[in-house]
Amino acid sequence: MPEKDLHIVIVDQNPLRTAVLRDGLLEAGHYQVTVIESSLDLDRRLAEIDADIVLIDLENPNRDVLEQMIRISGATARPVAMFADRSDSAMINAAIDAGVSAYVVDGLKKERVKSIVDLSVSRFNAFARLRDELARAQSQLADRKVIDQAKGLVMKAKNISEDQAYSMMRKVAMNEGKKIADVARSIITAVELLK
Amino acid sequence: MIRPLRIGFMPLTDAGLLLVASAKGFDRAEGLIFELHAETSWANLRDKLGVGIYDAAHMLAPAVIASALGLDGFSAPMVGAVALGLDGNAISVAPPLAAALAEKIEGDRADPVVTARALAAVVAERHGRGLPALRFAHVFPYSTHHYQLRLWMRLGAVHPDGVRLTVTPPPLMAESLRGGFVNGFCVGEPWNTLARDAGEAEILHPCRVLTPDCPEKVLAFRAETARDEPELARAAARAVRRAALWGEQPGNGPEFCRLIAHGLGGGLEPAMVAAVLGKNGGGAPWLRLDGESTALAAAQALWLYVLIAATGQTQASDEQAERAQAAFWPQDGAPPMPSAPAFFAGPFDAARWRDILALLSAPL
Repeated sequence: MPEKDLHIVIVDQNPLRTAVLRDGLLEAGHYQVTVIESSLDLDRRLAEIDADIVLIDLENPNRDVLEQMIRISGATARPVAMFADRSDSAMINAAIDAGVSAYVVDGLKKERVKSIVDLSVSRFNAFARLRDELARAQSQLADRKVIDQAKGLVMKAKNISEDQAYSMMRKVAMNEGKKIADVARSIITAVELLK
Repeated sequence: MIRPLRIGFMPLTDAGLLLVASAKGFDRAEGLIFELHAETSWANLRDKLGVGIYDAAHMLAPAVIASALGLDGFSAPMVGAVALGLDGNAISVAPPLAAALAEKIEGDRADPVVTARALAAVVAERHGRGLPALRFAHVFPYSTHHYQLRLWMRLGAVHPDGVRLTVTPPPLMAESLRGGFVNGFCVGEPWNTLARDAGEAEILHPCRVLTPDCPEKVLAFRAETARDEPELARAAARAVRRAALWGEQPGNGPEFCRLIAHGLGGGLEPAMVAAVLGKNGGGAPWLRLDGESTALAAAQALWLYVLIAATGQTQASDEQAERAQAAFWPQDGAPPMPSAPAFFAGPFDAARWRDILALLSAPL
């Protein structure tokens, strides 16, 4: 007999991370995924949904709301923190590192829970990498703007070509062991001062 | 050699002794460096302490007892090495409920029996008019906040179906009140004061009127660590106690309050800390952070166990009562015993714990 499709609820206020996680779950064949973005009135909203697994980011203060669901709701919703199984400390540590925690219905098969937690961990990590890459790309873009601006200032001040200005800046950067963007920032500051 | 101690805490006024110990170097005086990490949930503190990301944690005293008894089935057992103060919670209600209570109050509104009876009248009226049940929020299933709400409602024999109890993280409380998702709450400081000053809520009772000298937060260690390295926990306890004794000195009050307010951040004013500590010249304290308040005793653990059992979170047994008491390490000096004057006369008497449990859990 095929196993029942699990109803997975994601509680997270970060829409991008939520999308990354939801896509991962869909790819893995979990089609019943509900996202709760608002953090208010969580217990009532969860009680209406009848979730099998709730995935929540670790920094969300609503974790304490889920702690209560374990006890008060009796027959309707009964999540248990995934940390219930202390034998799998590798899984727990990986989840904490990634910043995700899961509450699961008591009695759900361990392997099914583990595969979903593992997937959440890898998706949370993928999201963190994505965010880092984005930040890096943004800072590269900002650097390029600064370098172009400084280059223009040097060209004007010394009446030289763009290539010459750039190689001067690169030479200073190499001699002083600095990044060319930092040299560019110093040039801009100096010119501002001397205006 | 100085040893770092990673401590997780919730940004609450009763984390104050940890902040002061660190700011004034009482940790170094005991060979430690408190590395303090602010957290967003009690569940995070418990789990990160459990897996060893933290060495110690600012922890709800009843959660330590629950872990020692294995009540939630998964907490790593914790022990309390030193108390981080006594009391400090208050019950507040949203302005519409405050107005409804004011209409029903008969007697001194500072008396929790009087307000609880008024609540019962409001609940009955709402029930009669087919209005939805009122909702009151606390902070964690195993918390004094939860038990204090229940005790207060019991004083008015409030119909159990008339009020829903729920957990709401204190930072979300103001928004939850505005949205009408909760009508009242029991939380620690600075959240009552902040809600009152913003006009979001009216403070009904500091919980010190219900359960004076109730253990509130402790510095918790994993039971395993505390057993293997008792001197580590002892040293941390001494640092906390030094901070409390220093703060007790009359001339140190203003700096003590300032260090706590600044340590918590978020624009908290030292005067708000001073007011709840009773250090502003007027008014009794709601929260005790003095030297005596840091002592721990097995009988306090037994009192919390009685509250846990009275709430139906476990079936009382002598064996559990025994284990609960071992979860608090006795400290130098004797703490004041908790009491509940509306329920029984005098301080909590450990020998009579079953009678007191019966008093607190008798059918309404």
